[in-house]
Amino acid sequence: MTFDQLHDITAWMADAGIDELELSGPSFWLRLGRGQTQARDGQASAQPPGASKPPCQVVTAPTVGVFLHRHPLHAAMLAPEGARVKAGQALGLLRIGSLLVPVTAPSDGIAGAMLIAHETVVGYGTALVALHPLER
Amino acid sequence: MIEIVTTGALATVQDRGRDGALKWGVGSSGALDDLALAAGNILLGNDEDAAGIEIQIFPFQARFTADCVFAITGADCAATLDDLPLPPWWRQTAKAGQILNLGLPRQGAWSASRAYLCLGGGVDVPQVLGSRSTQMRGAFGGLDGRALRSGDRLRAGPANNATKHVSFGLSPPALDLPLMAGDLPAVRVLPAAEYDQYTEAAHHALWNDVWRVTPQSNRYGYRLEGTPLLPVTPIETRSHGIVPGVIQVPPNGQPIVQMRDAQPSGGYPKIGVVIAADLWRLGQAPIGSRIRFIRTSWDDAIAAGEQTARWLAEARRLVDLHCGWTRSH
Repeated sequence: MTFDQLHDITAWMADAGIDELELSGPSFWLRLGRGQTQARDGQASAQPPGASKPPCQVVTAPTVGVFLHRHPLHAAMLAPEGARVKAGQALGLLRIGSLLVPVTAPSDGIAGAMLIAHETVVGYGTALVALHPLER
Repeated sequence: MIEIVTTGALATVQDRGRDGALKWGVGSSGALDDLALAAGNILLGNDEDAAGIEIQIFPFQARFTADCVFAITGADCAATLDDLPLPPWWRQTAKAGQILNLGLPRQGAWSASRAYLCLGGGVDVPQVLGSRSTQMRGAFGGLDGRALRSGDRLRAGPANNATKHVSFGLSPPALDLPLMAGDLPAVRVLPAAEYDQYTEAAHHALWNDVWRVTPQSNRYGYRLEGTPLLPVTPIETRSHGIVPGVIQVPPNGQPIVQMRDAQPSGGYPKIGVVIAADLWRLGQAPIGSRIRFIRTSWDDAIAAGEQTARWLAEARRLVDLHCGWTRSH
């Protein structure tokens, strides 16, 4: 990857209205965002820097879709604020046509506030829901 | 792959049916909600003729005896995998030893009565006359030609492992393809051979009255209760071939809709037939619930089938695309 390509990519992002882009290849990891850019050469297994765990996690959109707080069959939220949730449990859903992709809790915790309204179209990486650690 | 821990009566292995066997006097069998079974197979990347388990009495519990990808569709049974709650119409991976629990169907935005458990690769039982469906009347097909019992073990065929650990779901077709008449679920009906021999009052009742699903309703047939449907003069017919969906009217005037385990012939007059594209709606109608019939035409019945096929094709496309994305991570 060259800096010329980065220039093209940022231009495409601006055209498409994309705020943030993350890309990993066999030998690089790249993250572009408005007002912040990070890049790293090396193995693909490299994780983003600054990984010290904050007390409250923010779970982000794993794909583009319509964010749902509740399953279409249900009146109740999948993870109401304050509910204890298991790692892997769906906190919300992203609807793409008839497909429902879960926004899953990365670890056991207490569901926090929804950061985006029910039935909002969201992009990849959009912060969707807060997850608090279990009290010790 | 799985061991049945707890089951009520009448959980059976079913696929999409033993089509083409009527010529031997063998009924079709197959999932009452064929759309739910098809969706389960799509979630898993299975062949469309893969078999699953149809569950109609709850609670139902199964233990996974090996790591296994599975899907649950049909009635919303508040499924859990150990203590992890699963959304309805969902695909999930289980580890050996984990227990899947299905509770009583929740009657919310969609009232339904049957759940389907599909396994990656399909439930591996021998094909008999071209199908894995349990033929209860003939006691063949499925697992030893009978309903499942506690302690039964079922194997899965070779699964599409590339996307093993992905969890996702589908929006139930009852929401995407709703069909209501007034405030009640409805099914579309074509007039059948003896329709013209019924009174005007019977015709009016058929299309306008409400029909209650009686407790004498099962995989063989749904006995409905409502205004008696009476012929102008008594009708006598010889026994003749019938198919699932046919609405027979015995002398008491209370219609019986033939379902997937119906015998292949009968002698009662036929006032109508529920179109194939809507049989799943009736197959999910709970005992005691009420439905309506909507009169339709041949062309509209064909169009309804095409609409269902489009829903399934689009679901398969989206699932393939989603699994493709995940593979590249």
